[in-house]
Amino acid sequence: MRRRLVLLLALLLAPIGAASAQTLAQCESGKAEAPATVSCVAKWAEDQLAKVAADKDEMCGIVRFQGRLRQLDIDAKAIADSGRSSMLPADFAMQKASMPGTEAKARALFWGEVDEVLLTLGEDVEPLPVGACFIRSKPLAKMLEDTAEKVASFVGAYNKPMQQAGAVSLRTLSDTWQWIITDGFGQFPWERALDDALDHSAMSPFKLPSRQLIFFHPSVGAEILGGSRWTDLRSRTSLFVEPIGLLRYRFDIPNGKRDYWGLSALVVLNADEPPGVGGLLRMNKLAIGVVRHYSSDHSGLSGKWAVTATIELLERVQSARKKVGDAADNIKSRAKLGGADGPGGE
Amino acid sequence: MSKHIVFLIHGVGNHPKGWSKDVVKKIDDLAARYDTMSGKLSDQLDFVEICYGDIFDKQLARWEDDFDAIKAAALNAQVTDALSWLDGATKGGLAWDTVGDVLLFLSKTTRMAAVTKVMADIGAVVAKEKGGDTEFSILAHSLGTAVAMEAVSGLAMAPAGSQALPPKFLFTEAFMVANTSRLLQRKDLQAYTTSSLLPKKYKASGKCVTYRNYYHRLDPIPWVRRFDLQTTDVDGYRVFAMDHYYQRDLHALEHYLEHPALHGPLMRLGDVANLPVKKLNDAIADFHGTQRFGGEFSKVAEVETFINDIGAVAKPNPETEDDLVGQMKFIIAALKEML
Repeated sequence: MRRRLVLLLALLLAPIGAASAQTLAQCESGKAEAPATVSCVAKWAEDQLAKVAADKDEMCGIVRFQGRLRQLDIDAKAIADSGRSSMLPADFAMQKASMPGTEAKARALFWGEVDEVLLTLGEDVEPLPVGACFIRSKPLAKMLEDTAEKVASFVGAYNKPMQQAGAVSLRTLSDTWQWIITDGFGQFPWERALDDALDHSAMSPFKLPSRQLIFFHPSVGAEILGGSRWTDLRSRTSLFVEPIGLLRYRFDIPNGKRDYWGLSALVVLNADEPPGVGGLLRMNKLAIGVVRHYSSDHSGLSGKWAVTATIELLERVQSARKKVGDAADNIKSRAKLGGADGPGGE
Repeated sequence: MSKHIVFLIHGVGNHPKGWSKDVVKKIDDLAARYDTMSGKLSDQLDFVEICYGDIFDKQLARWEDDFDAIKAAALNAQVTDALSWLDGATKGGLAWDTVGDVLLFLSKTTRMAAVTKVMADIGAVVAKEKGGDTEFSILAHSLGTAVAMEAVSGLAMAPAGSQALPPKFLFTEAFMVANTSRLLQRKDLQAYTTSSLLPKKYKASGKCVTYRNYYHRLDPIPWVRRFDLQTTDVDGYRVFAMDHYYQRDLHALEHYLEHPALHGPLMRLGDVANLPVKKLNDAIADFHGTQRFGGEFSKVAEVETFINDIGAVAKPNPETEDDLVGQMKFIIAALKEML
């Protein structure tokens, strides 16, 4: 048994003896985000632990720590070989953990794993769970803690760019969800409740809505009615109610694009006419539709036709019309000036 | 010296930016009562305030604005009257503040918007930290416990490119006060099973070392579908039923903090010497005895009357999932009796 233990220790320690001793300065001179730098600090930490003498009861802490360092080196090399970026686990982040049956705490490495190591914080944590690996020696605990902290800081520095990119991505995701509320299609509470009741798909913060239900959605828009000539066109404000419809969202988050478009049935109400029915097509805040009003004697849909538009669309059209009008006026006035200044003009 | 960041996640009601200032002051004042405490606890712990109530405010404001546009057009009195309940939605009131926040949280879009905001806020803080020895904990209250459950689970399950936490990241402690995570769980995220905000020794993918569950025995909010993990401190789970009376609003975070069972472990996050174990145990024992009441209650008779009045409110079945309306009505009635 003793011979086997010596052999095991020799096998465990052999790779450390064979490699040249690593200095922390060598590791610190490497690029923080390079897996090779993490491998470097893993080797440095192994070298440190190789020099430590410990009681047989506390050897478990050293052996487990060394095992984790080897795994860290393997993981870092695998990442380097693959050429892909992926994070390394935060195994060496220490925690203060309350022990069972007491509020007394110990420092913990690899908490909840089969190779968990507990380090004394000076509080009485007895009785410990059966099989616990507990480092009572304060100098050894301090040494392991300091080494773990150093390794954790290198792993943290390696992970940082990926974590920060992840944080930026989460912020964009959060902003997109908020945009749906503030600037997306504004479902009213009953629409939202019905949509939620009918949607049985899995909910996830990462799954933005692809579609929304439109259900008895009221809004205010404009109807444009015509006469026999286009100069007879006039608009009036009307109440739109969309009894049923469907909306689709499209998100291109990396490029900051957020759009929605939808199609719905439309009922138009105003004080001057019998109701009109038709359809509405919307693209973001712009919507255009066609309705036909009931006749005055309510005998059928034989009343006036009208084109409907949201106020936003009308404003865009008005703005475009104004620009065209201004440009035309500009050309006319230049032409007049040119005629006045031309041959025979004063 | 190592750093310890504690995320503070609020519950129902109005919590604008800066809401945690009074809570942190309360924590400092409580810690200062102990002669073992040197300096301010808020100098040892970094309290980071998390706000998500603005999401609900934005939703209510949107509905109010959309309704106002219809009202302003004055086109159809019947439609305007039918929507009049949206008028003044942002102004609140006890019932709306309590139930309204919960209803908005139950709605998918507002729930995900609030949760992703908290995920982004926590992720940003963790990703920014440089120290290899920084620890992180969460103190969540009421609705905030359900939000914390969602946010931690979201962070844990983030796809590549959206991961702000490294693999094997653990929060040191989760203080879940007036826990509603089971009441407000959903089909795809269950508080006892699929949640990631569980102790690691209870569930291998759990994201905290110690999970502390607090409820006051007369607080109606955590009573309905009470969170009660069927395990012990061997798995890192601790539960504490409080029975102290210092203010009528038993649900308030400040009232829960009054009890050493909550502020004691918070103090020990900074340094175990802030409150040695024996002193903590003695303080907790006092709160079962001589210190059981104080503040707004100066006599035992007042406490007994208060307890009887709340006890007289008819209780629904707290476990059935079919009677959410009845359970909400009970909560409102009990809160009204308390306040």
